[in-house]
Amino acid sequence: MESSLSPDVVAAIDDLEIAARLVVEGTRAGGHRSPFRGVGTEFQQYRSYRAGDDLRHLDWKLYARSDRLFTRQFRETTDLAVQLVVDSSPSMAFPPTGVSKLRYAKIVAASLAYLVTSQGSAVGLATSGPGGFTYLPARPGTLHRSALIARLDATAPSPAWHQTDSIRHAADLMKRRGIMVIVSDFYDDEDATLRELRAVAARGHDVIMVQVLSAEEIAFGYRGEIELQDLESAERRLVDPSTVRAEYQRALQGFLARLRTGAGSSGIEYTLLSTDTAPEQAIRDLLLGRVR
Amino acid sequence: MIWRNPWAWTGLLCLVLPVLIHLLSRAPADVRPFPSLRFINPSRLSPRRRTRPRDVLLLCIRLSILAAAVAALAGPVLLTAPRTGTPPVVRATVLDTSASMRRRVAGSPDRRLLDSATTLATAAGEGAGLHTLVRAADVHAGIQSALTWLSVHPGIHELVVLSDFQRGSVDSSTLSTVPAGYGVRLVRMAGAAPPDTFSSTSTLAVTRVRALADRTEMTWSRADAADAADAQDAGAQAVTTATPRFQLRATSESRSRALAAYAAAVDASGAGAWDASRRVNSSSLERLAPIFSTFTPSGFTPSDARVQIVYPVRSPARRTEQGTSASPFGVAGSPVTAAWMADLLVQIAAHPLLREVAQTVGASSGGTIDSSHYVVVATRAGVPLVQAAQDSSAGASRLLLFCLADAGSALSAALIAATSNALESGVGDSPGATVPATAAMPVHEREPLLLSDAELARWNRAAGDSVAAAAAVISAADAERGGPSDARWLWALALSLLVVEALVRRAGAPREHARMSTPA
Repeated sequence: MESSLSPDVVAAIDDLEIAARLVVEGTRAGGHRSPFRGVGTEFQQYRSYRAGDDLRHLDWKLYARSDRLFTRQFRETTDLAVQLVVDSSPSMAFPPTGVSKLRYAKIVAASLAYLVTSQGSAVGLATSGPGGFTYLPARPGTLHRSALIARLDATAPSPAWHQTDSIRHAADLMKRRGIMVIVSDFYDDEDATLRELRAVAARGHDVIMVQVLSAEEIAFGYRGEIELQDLESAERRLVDPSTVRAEYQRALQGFLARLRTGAGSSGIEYTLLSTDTAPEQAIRDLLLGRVR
Repeated sequence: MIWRNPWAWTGLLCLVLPVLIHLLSRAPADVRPFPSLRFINPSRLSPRRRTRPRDVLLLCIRLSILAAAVAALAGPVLLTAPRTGTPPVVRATVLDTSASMRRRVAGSPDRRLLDSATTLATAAGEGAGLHTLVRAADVHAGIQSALTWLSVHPGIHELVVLSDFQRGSVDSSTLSTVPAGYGVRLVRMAGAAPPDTFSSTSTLAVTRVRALADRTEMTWSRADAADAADAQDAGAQAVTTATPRFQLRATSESRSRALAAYAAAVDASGAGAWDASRRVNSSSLERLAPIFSTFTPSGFTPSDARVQIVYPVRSPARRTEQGTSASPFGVAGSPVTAAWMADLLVQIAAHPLLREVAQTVGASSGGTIDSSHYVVVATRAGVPLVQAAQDSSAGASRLLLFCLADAGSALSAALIAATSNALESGVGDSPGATVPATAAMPVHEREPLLLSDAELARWNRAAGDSVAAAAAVISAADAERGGPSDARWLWALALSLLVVEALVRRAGAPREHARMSTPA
């Protein structure tokens, strides 16, 4: 397997679209099947077999006649739509230096958008921009993808972000059954968020929770006495990390476990990504999870 | 090493300040943004900020800077070999100029003790690097003056005292004020103490004197055990004091003639040997009234002066038999007017032994011979025991001391001692004196007993540590120059530590920043 691009390298690429393409190409180089294959059965054309193509789509009869491998391609008859919901709350701005959770979420979202549109599917975006809540309906095509990635690029941490409202709003705007991918740290009210996601799943949508956390907040490896400021509420607390570290990590792991359990019990796929994981590796793991 | 200003060490108290500052300093905490505080329990806030000093390394450096500065202010002086060298001898000589020093040197009738002492003092100054001569009639005060002078002159200190060292002039309390490092030399003038002097100290255990008038023989001695034994073997009763301070012999040859023969040995220094011619004997009891003892010390002026102790007829019955005189003494006399008599009376009356013995006499004893006569000593109740009168009849000039006690009594012995002591002290050179109410001369000046050579030897000591003396010299010299001591090295150390402190502080800032901003 080729080595993955490190988060720092990917984050250093200003053009989010290029970064997304790099990530997706890295993902493909891994030889994994795309989870967003078309579900339609209307035959469209043959093309030469490429490594990685689903063997189920090989036309064996044609192989018997011509002794060459061809893969059958179908026109998507169903309207697969992937709605990306990217958390742009202030807590996503952590850490302030290096690859923030928001930047990592943007890369992941852009990569998924690139991947989806490259397969001819539609992708939409719900996030917050300078003017507040931003919504792009799911559409196919590269032009739309570029617009989506540009909108994603302009996304900045905003205290106006309200996760449950955004999820509900995005679900309301989804006109057909599709996949909703929420990229967030899920530091909002977890019960309300899970309740909203269950409602989305109940509408027949496929829901994928992608939780992005930074390595710093997982390890809580601070030393010395520091005063922590909550990025959401601006509250400050003077702490001795060595004293609170164990309890913090217990509480965090409990939170993650509740999310995972809550998602699993509701048929919601849950994936935890750390910002120190290579984005293409994260995408690969995410897609592998889908395939399985 | 010595310290020119040891009080500067109190500045070490300032070390508390940096510790407090480091403990109490509340530098703004490094504020770190964090996604959510929902997992941080508020009860886990740090409680240690006020109990743990910040930056121990900086604190140690700052404490070292302060300590070095304090040590520098204390003025250290290293006692290196070139510095210690040989410090000068600083000698203060105290010359006793009291009256007792005006006595003549034994064996040299023309030379007084003071003259010899002055010569010695001059010689003492020649051998010293720095010398002063303190003349004082009060040796104790003179020593204090000398110590004051010595304390401001660095060097090897030595105190020399030239005196006859009458008992009481110098004692251990006086010498205890001499610093330990000072040498002390007590030089007695006129050599050893005169062997035959009368005591006037107050240490006589009067209650143990068993002198009674009806003894056939009475002896006071210096507790000579052999003499006492001899007297007892002869059938006599020896009477001694617990701590005899005087040498006196009073002898009565038989009980019936108890007062017939009375002799007092007066052999004070300079008065010559006891003169047997002054022994008064009488073979006839009828001629024994009055019984008296006469003192005529050589060298005493006026030349015709006489002092007589007059005793009464022994018993009232005999006085009745005689019936020749209303006075039991046979002589009356007139009030004292001669200056030398008055002078002598003052000393006799002030004699401690006589006063002490008088306190033991019962109230029924004594009496008043003549109310116009000067009362030399009285009982505790105020009844006269000894009165003085002047007899100028027949061209003589006699001081009569009427002793109302028995001639063999302790009071008699004390009176003889006091009289002899007064005569010995050389008074009588002050014409015009009158009979005063109180003694005009310090007691110790009338003290004939001298401090023993053993006591003086015990107090003598060599000069102290020469290193300490050298240190004092160096300290004083540096103080006079106002120049720097070895403190400059400590100042340099403090400055170096200041630089280190600045470097550490500068290096600590980014380190601290990194520590705060970069999680482990």
